[in-house]
Amino acid sequence: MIRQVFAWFLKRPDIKVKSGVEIYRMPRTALIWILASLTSVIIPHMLRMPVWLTLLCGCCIGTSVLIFQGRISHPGSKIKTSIVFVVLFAIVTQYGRDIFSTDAIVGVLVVGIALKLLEMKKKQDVLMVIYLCYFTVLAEFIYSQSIPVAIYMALTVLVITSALMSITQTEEFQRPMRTLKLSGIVLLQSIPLMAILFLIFPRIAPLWSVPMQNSNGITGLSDEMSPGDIGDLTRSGDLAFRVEFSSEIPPYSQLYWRGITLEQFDGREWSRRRFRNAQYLGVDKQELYPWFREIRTLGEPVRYNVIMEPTQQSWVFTLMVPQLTNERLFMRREFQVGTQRPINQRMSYDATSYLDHIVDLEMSRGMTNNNLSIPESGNEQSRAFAEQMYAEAESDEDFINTILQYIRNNEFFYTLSPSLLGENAIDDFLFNTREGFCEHYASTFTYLMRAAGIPARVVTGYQGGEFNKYNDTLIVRQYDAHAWSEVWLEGRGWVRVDPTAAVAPGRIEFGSQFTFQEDEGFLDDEVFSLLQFRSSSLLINDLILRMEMIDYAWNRFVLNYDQGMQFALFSRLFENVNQRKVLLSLLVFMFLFTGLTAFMVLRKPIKKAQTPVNALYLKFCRFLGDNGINRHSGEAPMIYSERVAAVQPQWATDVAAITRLYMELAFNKISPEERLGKTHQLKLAIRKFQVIN
Amino acid sequence: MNTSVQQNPLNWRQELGARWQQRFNRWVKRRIPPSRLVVLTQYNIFIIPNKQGLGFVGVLALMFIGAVNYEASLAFALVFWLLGLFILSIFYTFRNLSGLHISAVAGSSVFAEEQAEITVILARHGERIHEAVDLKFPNSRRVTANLIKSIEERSSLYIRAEHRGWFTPGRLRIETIFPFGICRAWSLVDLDLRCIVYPKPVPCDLDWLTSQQQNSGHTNITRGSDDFHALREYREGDSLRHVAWKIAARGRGMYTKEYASNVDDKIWLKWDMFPDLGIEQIMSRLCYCVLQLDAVGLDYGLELPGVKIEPAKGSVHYNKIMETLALYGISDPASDDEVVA
Repeated sequence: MIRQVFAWFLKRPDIKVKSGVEIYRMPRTALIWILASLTSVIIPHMLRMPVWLTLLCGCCIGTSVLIFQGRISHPGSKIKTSIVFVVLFAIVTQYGRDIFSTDAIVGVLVVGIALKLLEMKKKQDVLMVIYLCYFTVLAEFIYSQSIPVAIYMALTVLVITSALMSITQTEEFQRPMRTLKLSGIVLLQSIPLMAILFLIFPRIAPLWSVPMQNSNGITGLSDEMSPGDIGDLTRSGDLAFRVEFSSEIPPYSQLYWRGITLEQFDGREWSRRRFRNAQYLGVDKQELYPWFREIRTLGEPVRYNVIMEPTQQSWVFTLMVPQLTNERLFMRREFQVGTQRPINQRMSYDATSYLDHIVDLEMSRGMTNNNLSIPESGNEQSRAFAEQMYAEAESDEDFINTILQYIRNNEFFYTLSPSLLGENAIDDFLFNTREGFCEHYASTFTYLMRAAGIPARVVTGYQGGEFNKYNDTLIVRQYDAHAWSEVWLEGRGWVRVDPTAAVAPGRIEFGSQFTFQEDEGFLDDEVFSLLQFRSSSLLINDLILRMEMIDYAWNRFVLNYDQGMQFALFSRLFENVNQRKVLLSLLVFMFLFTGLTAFMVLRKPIKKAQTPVNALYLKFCRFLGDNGINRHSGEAPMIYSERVAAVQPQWATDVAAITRLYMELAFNKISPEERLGKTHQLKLAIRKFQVIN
Repeated sequence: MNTSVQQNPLNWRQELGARWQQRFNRWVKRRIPPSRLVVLTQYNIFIIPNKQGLGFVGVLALMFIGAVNYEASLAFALVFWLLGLFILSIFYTFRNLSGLHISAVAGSSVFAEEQAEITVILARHGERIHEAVDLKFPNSRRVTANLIKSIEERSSLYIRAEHRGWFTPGRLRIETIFPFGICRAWSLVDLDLRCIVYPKPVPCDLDWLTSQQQNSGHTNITRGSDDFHALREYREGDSLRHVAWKIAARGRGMYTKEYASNVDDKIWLKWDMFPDLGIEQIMSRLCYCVLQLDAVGLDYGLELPGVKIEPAKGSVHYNKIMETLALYGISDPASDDEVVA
């Protein structure tokens, strides 16, 4: 049935071949392979591409089949030119200013392959399509390198390689399964070589920076915070980052993963202060700055490695107060650690933090003012409330406690779906709705501090996480997003205060999942995810953690394999790592593995064990040899038989009959009964021949 | 020489190419001596990445730059995987030829300017299959052979034989790009083949020729018509030439003319029958005469300067005469000796 469909699909008229002109005729099975490779390579890109691009690919595939069948001819140069212009125009319109983004480049690549399908006149054209398919596989890895994608893409490479093989094969001898099998074997045999090159081949730094336009909206923290922003993140169970501690793991309630500090407030929204002098401080320059030198650290450091999912933002998450150990990372004045470029790929960094610390005992006036500024108007009620309470308080600390006490003692609710706030958001929350998520509490608390004259700021990041007992990593997901406050106290510097702890201590002690798993809205975006069911079944919870462990290993050891890890590997092998040793070992391993594989591929085909039939035939050959006609080693039986006939014509018929019988027994598939009969027949024929002659 | 080099770089390049080709041919001749049966091994298989292979490596280089710039580990893995595939394809392409047994049979003799048939026999021993193997003689079309289920494959190649004499098809080029088309393995084997090419028959007036001969007093062509003996009924197997057509035409049935046993119908074909022509033209016309006389069933002999073959008939005689005509005045390429002075 399938064969019939294919037969129709690839029905082909006889082309009258002009004398002298050699027209390239692609084997028909090859077309199926090529279309299969193209389809499978485009499928993952389809979600990101505009719909018209997918439709265009479909049209091109259909047209290429019609061209192959000879129903329509190859488009002429005028039609081709106009198609190319229309498509280019469409792409420019589609991507506009992002024409140099990765999305646009992938779009152009896909369109290029699809249009090339209409022009498969020569062998080079066909090869071009196949090579571009390989390239498109690579393009997919820019977006995703997860295990399922890797498996899917490996299968796609298998299909493309089969397409490559099929164009060298003869049409009538093509068997798709054989092509697939041989491609698979060669690809499997290439894996050791790939592994060696992957581990040893020197990794180079990017040659130029590549713009990314990520079409997948990324959920994560932004550098602005208005009421409801952090609460929205609890709808997502997406991974934010993973942490592996190399020192003792700090208590859960201390795991405040500091992202960014928000110092500007417009009455509703907190945002990052931009354009600041000496914005970023590299690891080599940090000692030059007094504020950095004056960090006082107490106790033992916490050391950890973080693998962070891409955020498209340029900051990373650390525990307070971080120490820079990584050259790619920079520190800002607010002890906020970041990168130079937006993080558009999964990134790994080592960090060291001192949880017990004193920072910024002295603070400049400018900075103090920044952390005291509040809009001149609005939220009058709250401002008055703060001033009154501050007047009643004995000290700054006392005032902070009073406010926290106030939150604790009044009917405040910690909820994912709070009532909407009016124009004076702080007043509305503090005296009216009293329902909110952590950003409401952090925002209000910071505002009250500033209103009372205590420098304060909002910090956003993540709090807590989930421990995976299988690989001792901490998994931090989007729903662990959190916001808290930092206040500056005379003689103590910056101190973290988390007003959420006053209303919902469980959130800090046990995490977001514990607090909200029964709530409406929590994990709303994860309708099909196993995460939905983890609370109801220990088994599923276990499964999630195990999958998480595999995924972590994949990320840590495969995707994150970089110069640093390469260096670490070499350090284990050699005492002093240098370029020459690396290259030498690369060569040695390459030769070794290439040699081994070559041996496997080229070793002599296994000779079949002597079967009775072969033994009979060889005996017959020896007899002929004794009579002066030796069989050359490896001479084909039929050729030998002809040679015997030429020398001894009177033997011709007998020898031909015996040879035919032997060939039939040796190479044809025949039933066992028949085989038995024919073997006997052969034995008799040879004996008779020997007796007569 | 030097001045022409500067004046015409194309010539210079062509000359260099030709010289290189010559050197290569000499080397190949030493490397792969002529043999009736050639087994392809590492001694006689050449292998090199072809144009498509270079394209493949070029694409890999571009992909590597992409991998470097996007710092994607799996992109590196993909590039290295395909590089491994490229390296392995060298072995696999080699393997596709290695172990093949090649022999060939030259077809029956041909006349000049006709297509000589050469049957190339590929055979395999053992389980290894050989797929999409291209066979080509210097002036033949390309033929593709597959040894997948079969263990022996015969392919006929046709080459135009230009001149009479010994025909050697040249070295058989056996080539494959299977499995991935990115490497080419090939061998140039001399299967020690040759066949005789008869002169191209050019018609000439046989009757005119005989009358000329008689009038000029030569008696070398003597017809036996005078010795007509009797008529008898036609039997199957009688030569149609001897049918009494005049009687048959009158509708009286088929009769065969019988000749006396002492009939002398021997004909001598001589060099000086065509006094004004060159050697090739003479051979062509003599060849035509032989074909005609052989069809008629007459005895004929051949007399060329230095060669004399007594009149006779039959296929052995025919072959001998034709071979003489084919090789007259031509040196034997195998022995480098003049066959006829």
